Amino acid sequence: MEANSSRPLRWLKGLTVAVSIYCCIYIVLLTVRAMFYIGWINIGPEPVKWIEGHEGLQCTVLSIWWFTGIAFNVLMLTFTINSTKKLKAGTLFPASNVGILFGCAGAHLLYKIATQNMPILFDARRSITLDLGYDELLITTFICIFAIVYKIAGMIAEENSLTI
Amino acid sequence: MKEKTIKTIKGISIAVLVMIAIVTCLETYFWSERWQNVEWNEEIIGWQRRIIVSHIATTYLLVAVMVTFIINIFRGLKKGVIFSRCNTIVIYAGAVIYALNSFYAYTAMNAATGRYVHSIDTDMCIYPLLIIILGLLHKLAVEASEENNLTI
Repeated sequence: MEANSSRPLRWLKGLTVAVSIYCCIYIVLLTVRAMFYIGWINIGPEPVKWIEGHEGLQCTVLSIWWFTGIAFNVLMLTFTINSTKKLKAGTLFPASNVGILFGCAGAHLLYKIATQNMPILFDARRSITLDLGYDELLITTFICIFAIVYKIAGMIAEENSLTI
Repeated sequence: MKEKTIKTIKGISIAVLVMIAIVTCLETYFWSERWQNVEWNEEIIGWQRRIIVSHIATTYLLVAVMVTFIINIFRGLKKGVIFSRCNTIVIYAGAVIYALNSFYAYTAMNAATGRYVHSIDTDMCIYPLLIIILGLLHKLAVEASEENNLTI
């Protein structure tokens, strides 16, 4: 088994590193962008135009956008690291990853809703919209299907005591 | 394999097939609506058509890949082989088609508004990478199950 599986294992490790680097860069960029919006850094995108009476809504949109963006990337990071860690212990499809994937789908949906509502920060609109667009819903559905498929694979592997 | 597990797998697979059917119907409905509202630009009309048609085609291809994956699971249940080699290839194909679909989806938004802009988003890389990780795990499961079958 060792000789056969060494190649996919090497690839898995490589991909885990790639996904981890991507997630870390994304988290840093998202935080820097949030700092631009708040006005802590004065070069780059224009800061939020605070409107009297709407600060609460603007603050909520900005916080949800930042928090869900971070949550989505942290969850993806956890998924990849968890997969490789459990693989070393011999488990192919750990059950804990299914919850993480559903969490990813939820965070992705909320992040996209918040992104869609970013014009509120610049006084281009003053109310929340849930109009997501078909493609975003499609991506969320795909992540859910991915989680379900992962769950099926986990069930079969567990039933057959399949470990490497 | 336990009867209960087989029933659960069948149930989940049917639920996934229903989800896919709903997504496909929504895709068809939305594009029939969008098609009427596309701002055709005479100078780039060929490119607009190519991008929009490619987007629709890759979505249906993705749906076909997912259905093939589920059908292979059903076939495997009958034969008693769940982790089949052909499903690993199906997963890799899904990753490639998903990357193409994301590219066409974002670019089709521009094409629909008459802008000649190719859009690239980070979603195009990260989800295919996750699908490839699933494919690699599936490959390991195939090898492990084949080895298990050889054990006496």
